[in-house]
Amino acid sequence: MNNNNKIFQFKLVLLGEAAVGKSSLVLRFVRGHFLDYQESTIGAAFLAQTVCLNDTTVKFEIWDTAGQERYHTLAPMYYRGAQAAIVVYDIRSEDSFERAIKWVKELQRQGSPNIVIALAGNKLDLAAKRKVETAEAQQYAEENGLLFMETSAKTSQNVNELFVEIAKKLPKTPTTRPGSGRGVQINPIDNGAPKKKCCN
Amino acid sequence: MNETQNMENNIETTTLVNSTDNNNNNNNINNNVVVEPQSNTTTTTTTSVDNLQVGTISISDQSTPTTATPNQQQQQEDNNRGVSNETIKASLDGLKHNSLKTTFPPNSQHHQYIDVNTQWITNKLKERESEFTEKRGMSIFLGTWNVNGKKPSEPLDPWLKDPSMSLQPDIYAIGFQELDLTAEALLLGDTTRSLPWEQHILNTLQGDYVKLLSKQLVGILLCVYVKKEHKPHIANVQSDIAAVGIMGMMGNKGGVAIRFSFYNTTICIINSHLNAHMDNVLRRNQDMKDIAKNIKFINESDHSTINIFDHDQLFWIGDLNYRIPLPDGEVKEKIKKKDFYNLFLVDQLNQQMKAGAVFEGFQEPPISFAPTYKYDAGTEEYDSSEKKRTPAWCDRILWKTHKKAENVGILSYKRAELISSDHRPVSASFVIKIKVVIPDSKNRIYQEIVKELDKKENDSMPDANISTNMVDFETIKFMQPTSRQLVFENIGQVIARFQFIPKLDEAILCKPWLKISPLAGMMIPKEKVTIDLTVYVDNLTSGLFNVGGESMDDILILHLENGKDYFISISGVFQRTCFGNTLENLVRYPHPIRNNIPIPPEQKKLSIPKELWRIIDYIYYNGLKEEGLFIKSGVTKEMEAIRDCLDTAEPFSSINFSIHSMAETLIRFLESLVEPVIPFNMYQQALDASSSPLSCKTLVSHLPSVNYNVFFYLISFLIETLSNQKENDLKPDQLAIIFSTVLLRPSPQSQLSQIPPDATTVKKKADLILHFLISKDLIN
Repeated sequence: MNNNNKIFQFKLVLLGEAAVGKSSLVLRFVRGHFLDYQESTIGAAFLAQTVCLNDTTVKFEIWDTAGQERYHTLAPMYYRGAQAAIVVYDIRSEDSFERAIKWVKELQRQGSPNIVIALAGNKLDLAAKRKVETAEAQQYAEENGLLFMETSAKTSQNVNELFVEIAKKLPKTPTTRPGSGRGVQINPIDNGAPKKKCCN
Repeated sequence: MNETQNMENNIETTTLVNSTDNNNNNNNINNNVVVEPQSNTTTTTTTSVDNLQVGTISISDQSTPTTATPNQQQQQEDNNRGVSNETIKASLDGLKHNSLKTTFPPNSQHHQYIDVNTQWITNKLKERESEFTEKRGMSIFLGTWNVNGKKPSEPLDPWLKDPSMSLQPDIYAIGFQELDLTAEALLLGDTTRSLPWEQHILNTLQGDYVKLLSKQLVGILLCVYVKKEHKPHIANVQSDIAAVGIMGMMGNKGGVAIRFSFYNTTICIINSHLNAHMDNVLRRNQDMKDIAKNIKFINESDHSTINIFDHDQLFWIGDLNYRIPLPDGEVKEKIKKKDFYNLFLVDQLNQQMKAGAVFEGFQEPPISFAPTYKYDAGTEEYDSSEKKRTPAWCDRILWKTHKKAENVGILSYKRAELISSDHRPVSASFVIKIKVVIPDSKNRIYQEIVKELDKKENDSMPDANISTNMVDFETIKFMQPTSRQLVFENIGQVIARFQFIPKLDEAILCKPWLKISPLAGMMIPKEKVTIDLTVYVDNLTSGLFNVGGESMDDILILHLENGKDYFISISGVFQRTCFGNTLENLVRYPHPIRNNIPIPPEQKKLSIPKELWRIIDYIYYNGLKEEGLFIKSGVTKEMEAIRDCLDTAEPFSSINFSIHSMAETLIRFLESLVEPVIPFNMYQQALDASSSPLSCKTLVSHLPSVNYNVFFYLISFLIETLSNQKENDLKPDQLAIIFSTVLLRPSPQSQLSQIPPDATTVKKKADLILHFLISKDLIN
């Protein structure tokens, strides 16, 4: 590590069908715990967590969103301006994988340009009931330039790794300004767009 | 680059070699002047001061040789050179330097973005430095020599190389005074005299060292060299200069300073030349304080100003010019006997330091060598001139360790027998406990700090609990407000501010039939707020459901400032009604409207809405003779019951109501129509036609067929009503005013609907209807 402990701040959003484990992944990553009964997210929860890489520090502003389909139309409020997204599915559910693919397509179409997308097959601890094959998801991820990992929020397997990989992949350009902080911007600014350095 | 800039650059020459890192910035910032971008990569400094003006002032004020005081004359002789040019130059230099400092306080120049998060973490890391650094002993060699304007002529090894030291110093800091006494140097900032000395030093150090930085102020030069292996561990190299005297114009005296971070230890070195002469003790004391005060650096993390005392290790070397106030013979006698102890007791610097008058908190290694001044140049004899100056320890090396840092260890303090100048060079070596970072430990502690910050940040976010995310209003009736309550409770540790926010790219918070109160608010921890949600479907919004086929649902976003968003789903079932409907829709619907039976496409249209027929039919048989018909108002509850009957096809006989409730229901029905009987696009035509009965007739004949039927039916009914004038006491113009208001309305989208109609418009509208009520043949 050098003396240049600059913190790069990024907005990250979690998307995916209801009950695939989005909130559990965030809570495992941020708080280090897991609840067997995690309440359904009706809204969007915000948490901050920092990942230290070898030479830089990446701070994530994490928006965990509601998975229920009735809230689908509200999702752009949260993925707009996000530089990273984790699209989550349950490895036991083909439907959730199909839904994940739809989310990826929506992000590619309407998300920030150059958004880093990670595909996460969650509930790896229940692999005995697996319905989505690793190879299938892996192939889809490769074809679409996504990061891919199978995770378990329950056992914490690959959870930190997932965020670290995203942190590594995000561009650490000098134009990356720390975000305006938390909360939904009423008039969102596309943080993904390159900005002129203000002053030095 | 123009000539003026060139001159400026040379006067304050800062040369940075091996400038592969980002130290350029720091150097530029440190000069406390406006720095303009340079295309050249070697470090240069450009000042924006108006040189001409400064020069004029200083020359006129200072440098008239004829007014020289005896003291100045003495100084001229003492320094053995012409004074006037030097004074001019030094005045320029000093005035410029000091005036810049007062003109541009470094911190107040710009409002700039400060990354406070990074700054906070950096500070925390500094507090825990001992946990991730280990102390490693490293040595620093400091040398000072007043060369009396001489060029290099003899090997420097006796001064710079110490055979008694087993290891080479890690750092060399070498200072000269009176390096260049030529007028060219003073006026043109010529550095040609310093370059041979620097080359001479590098030759002596033999390739194991790299120059960090050198800094010159007139004859005062400071050069810092480090062992090559340490170069990557050096950061934030900065320099500054300070001339002394009134406004810094008193000659070539002053100091230059270089500071840098060596691993995690900060080091600052000052080389100074203080004022001369036995009796100038107070002047020298003041010089020291002025230099200490005026030298400034920039803290790289927050851009605040730091001074020389903000370093772990501070070294002060140079020709400090303090003397020994004893008769010349006595001093020489004691030197012969090597009785340095008794000489040191009366040494001016020693005395002043003991008295706390100068160099407060500084230390000096014990002196065990003979005074280094003044020799006959080129000989080993003390001054044999007429003046026979008393020998003195002019050339000294002092240090001050920060109270938070570990003190240095003294390795040596001695003079070297180089004879070309009238001074002997002096050197001192110290061991410094350098703080060296253990990368793994630093990483671990950095992560701990960051994690702690994350935790605090997440814990300090507002949190609230909402009693439900689903609000079902169940059955909603036309014009009947229905309310539900939500309880929002602050379950976090901090004040929670909330507000409802619109969905992305929308301007409104919710559908027009929903009212939220309050829209925003604040809760202290544990406090609860009740939020009222009210659904109310009126004439303006019922069309959305009756005609538009919208279902009654919405999602509200309740946003906690700096925290979560809560979604609230709103649902309800609107009871379809003939109110807030369209004539076109109603005539195609043979069933009770609330039955929600889909209309078959081939369904034959009714000539007028059956609901209108039922109302008029009822009044026709039960109320034509009623006094105050259409004038007296109905009862709300009764009208609601009548609406239910109309929408469900229940007979009116099943409920109780007055005829006035039925009469008002007729007016309300017509008023609620999404588009009035005379459509919006004919509104203006209708007003224009109102003056002529024939135009009115033509207008009505152009109504859509259903509208025409309704108009015809209604006017016929009103004429029939007026035929009972004796009993009901109604006047045609009264009826005309009442019904024209509901039959003829501007579109709610038009601006006309925003303001109450003026008297002329009201009359025009009424006239239109009145023509038909009076001239019965108009509608036949």
